[in-house]
Amino acid sequence: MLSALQNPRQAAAQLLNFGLILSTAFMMWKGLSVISDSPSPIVVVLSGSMEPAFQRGDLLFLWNRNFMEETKVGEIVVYNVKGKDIPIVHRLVRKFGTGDEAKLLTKGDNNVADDTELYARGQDYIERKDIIGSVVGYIPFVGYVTILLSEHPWLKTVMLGIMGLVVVMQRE
Amino acid sequence: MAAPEKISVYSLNDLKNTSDDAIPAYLNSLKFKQSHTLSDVRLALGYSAFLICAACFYWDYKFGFESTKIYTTIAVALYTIINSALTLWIWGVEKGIIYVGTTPNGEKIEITTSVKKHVPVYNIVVKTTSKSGKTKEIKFKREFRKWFDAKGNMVAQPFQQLWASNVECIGMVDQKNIVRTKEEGKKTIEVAGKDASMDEKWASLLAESQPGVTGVETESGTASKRGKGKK
Repeated sequence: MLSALQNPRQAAAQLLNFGLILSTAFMMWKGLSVISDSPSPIVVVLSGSMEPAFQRGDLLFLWNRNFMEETKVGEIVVYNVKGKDIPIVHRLVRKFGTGDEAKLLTKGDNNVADDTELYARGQDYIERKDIIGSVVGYIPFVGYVTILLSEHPWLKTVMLGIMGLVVVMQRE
Repeated sequence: MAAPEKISVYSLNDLKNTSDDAIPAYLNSLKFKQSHTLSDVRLALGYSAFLICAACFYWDYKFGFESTKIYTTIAVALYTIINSALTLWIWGVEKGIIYVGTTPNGEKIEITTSVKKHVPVYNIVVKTTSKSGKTKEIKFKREFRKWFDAKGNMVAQPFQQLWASNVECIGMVDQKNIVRTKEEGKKTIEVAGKDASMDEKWASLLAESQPGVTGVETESGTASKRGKGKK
């Protein structure tokens, strides 16, 4: 590793290896985003409000294109509420009207009441543009790592540090 | 020239990398002119891919996904193309070439090295192109223990001797490191380029293995046997 410092090309190549790992991961994510037309095509369930369908830690795959038909009542959708940064996974239970202006109401399977409480102040319904995707597939439990990471933020720093070190120390 | 740090002699990767690093240092010290075209192209491709990614990250962070969707799509497509080009370059063009350069005599030299998994032997292929365009390929292999001591220090002299004795155009510049031992000749497998005649091939083989023998005709029988045995 030290010898790399004497040779700028080799140092640049080693740095590039690290950069390419990061950038490839990011571009794969963005590629998935572009294909599914969703800003966040994979999400992790953070709450138990959709039990027994989804548990905390489940990984969900989203699809945000309407090829043949509109988003229907009964689909499980992930939506954003203005002013809140955490997307919510709930089922679409009411739909009034069609197209982009349709008024949509959602509710968690495990919740007693519908989501009007969760929406922004004064908001009674969501629209199609608030939705970032419908759930098309899931893997149970694997997302639990990210819950751990977000609940213990220092773990992120530690993990990034270890990953960086490993890549820089190894040449392959 | 010796490697500045100790390595683990049980790590084949370390053995190969340290040896690979020593070659440019040695050859450049003999006034060889190294050509960096291969690695420069690789670096250019890699860094341009990385820059595209960085730009994409920036506008995504700054302006969000929806408003920059077209640019992101273009960036993803470009990144895929450049990255595939980079992979092709590494596998198809570089192919393990670790040194390209020109000797002080104007010959072109291209060195490729490889190791087989768990076999501590350094496989070397040297391709030289003379000024008249004649190409010649020399293949030889040697155990790493010949130039690494038990503690993992690289010893420069035997390593330099290996190169000077086996590769003609290096030997010409570095006469003092040529050693003509039985062993050096025995393990050398020389594959003459298509331009070289059989006689030339045997002559060079004999020159490697038996210094002092002049009669090519009389010795060619044994040489051919030996040549077959080695392959």
